[in-house]
Amino acid sequence: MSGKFCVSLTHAKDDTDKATVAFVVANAALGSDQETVVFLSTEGVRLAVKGYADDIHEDGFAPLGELMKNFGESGGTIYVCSPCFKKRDLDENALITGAKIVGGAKVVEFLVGGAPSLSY
Amino acid sequence: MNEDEAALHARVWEYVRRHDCYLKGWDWANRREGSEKSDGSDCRNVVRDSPGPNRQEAPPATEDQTTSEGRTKGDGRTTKPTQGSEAEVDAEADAQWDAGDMACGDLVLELRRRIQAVKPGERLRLTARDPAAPEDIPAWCGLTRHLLIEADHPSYLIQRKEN
Repeated sequence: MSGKFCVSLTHAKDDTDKATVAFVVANAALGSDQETVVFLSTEGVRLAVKGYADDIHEDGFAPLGELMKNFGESGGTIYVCSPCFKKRDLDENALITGAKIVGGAKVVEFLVGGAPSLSY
Repeated sequence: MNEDEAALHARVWEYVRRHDCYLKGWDWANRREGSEKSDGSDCRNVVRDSPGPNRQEAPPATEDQTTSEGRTKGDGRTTKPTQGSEAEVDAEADAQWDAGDMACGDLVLELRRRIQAVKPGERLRLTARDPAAPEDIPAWCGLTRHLLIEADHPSYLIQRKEN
């Protein structure tokens, strides 16, 4: 086992179900002692902006803001795709705690050692 | 009952030491109280079932919230039995957590925090009513290397690994 886990998320308010489940699974990986990265790209990058996820709450799950907060506070890492972020004119100074703007190389570096990955 | 307390204690101890199940609970209580009695007696307070004429009622047990259906819903608090309460003492566990209906990532993320709160080698009694728990808890133990001592859904006894 590599001890790493990656969740790739490409949705935000355009599909709140996928956005929520991605973080539920990410927390499951983190809770199982896997070094876990959530990689946000395309629409998913919007979640990295402070306040954006505050009104997302899917039935049967904790609010997304809470899931993301728990993920960060428990040691999870959020990578935010740089070109996707810039394309949407989002504010780099308004990133949530624990999110990092990264390029492809950083994601590849994490995955190339053999990390399993799920995509939403 | 109006029985002398020392005589009552002796009578209780005599009964307990002849019954393995009660003896386990007694030993656990002695360890908790720091008793150094090598023969297993002591265990400092004998709790009466009903108050005598000059005693006040024991305080109510500390319990998790109960739903309208009568099921216990985990609220994130660790439940510990209080003296005089009806809560059962789990002689096998050093800590208990009722996770209620928590599931999936929420469950295991909080479980990781709870197991880290006990000392290496100590045991946590988990109650988890999520229907996936019979699969998830063994999988989680396999991944984290904590020992699954008992699994009898919804009750799980997990021992924190040494390192």
